[in-house]
Amino acid sequence: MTETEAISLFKCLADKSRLQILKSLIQEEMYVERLAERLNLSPATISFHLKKLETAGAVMSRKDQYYTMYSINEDIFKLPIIEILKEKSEELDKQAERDAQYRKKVIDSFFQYGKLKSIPSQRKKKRIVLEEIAKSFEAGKEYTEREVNLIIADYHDDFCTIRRDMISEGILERENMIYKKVL
Amino acid sequence: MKTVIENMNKFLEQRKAEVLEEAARLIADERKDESNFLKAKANIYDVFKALLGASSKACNDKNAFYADFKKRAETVPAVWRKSLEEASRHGDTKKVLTEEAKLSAADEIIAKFDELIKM
Repeated sequence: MTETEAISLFKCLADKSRLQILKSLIQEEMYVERLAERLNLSPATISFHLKKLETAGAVMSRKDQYYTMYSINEDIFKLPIIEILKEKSEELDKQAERDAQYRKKVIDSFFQYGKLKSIPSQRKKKRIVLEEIAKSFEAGKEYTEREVNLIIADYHDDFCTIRRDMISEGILERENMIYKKVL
Repeated sequence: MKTVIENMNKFLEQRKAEVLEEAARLIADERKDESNFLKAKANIYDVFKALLGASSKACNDKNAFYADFKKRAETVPAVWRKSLEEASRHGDTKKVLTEEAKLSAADEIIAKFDELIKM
């Protein structure tokens, strides 16, 4: 079930009359007039609710001579809610795209010809800049402080500040004066 | 004529309040969609209040006023009747309920007007 389908279903279920209709249909299939009589609602009101329920996939209909018989779509109600929550969000791709665009914008404005123009003061931007510099470090490889300084110096003269920031941001780790990029 | 207008206005205000009260009750009962149809119905009392005002401004004579209001009271809902027919043909259940709600108010108002002018 997609996120849009789940929203449509939950919205549809958040109505007492529609829940009453479903409770009737779980007992047996029914036609509009029978539901109307049973729930003390007009046939037009029942038709309106049934249309919404059918669109949301909660009920199904079939022609039986003069009547349209409605029944509950059991499959949809057997689906555990946890499974719906586990579905990949349609928003995730859009969010990732927005994040990538923002990242590119920050990198473009702080780097020029491979050099860092200035160290951003905003933490979010600084983090992006530090992660960009971290791409010059090999994963799992051990570096001495001098090697770290040389790599960072390629980007900016204030390698001490950047090195310390990379440690505090958890991008690099230091143990016994040996540095490693955190995976 | 003045009494009819006063009584009609009183009726329209009272019915609007009653319908809105019923709409609020439906919302409290988690029946928002049905409540929305009643809100559409409640608006009709204001529409007819405006029609009543227009007729009373346009006509000084009692009989002319009655005829003018009756004409307006039939012309305006005619559009809703047409819309209801169209919606029914296309299975647009939401529109059907909205137009039915509006027309039920219109029928009720016209019946009340007929009752008052006979008195």
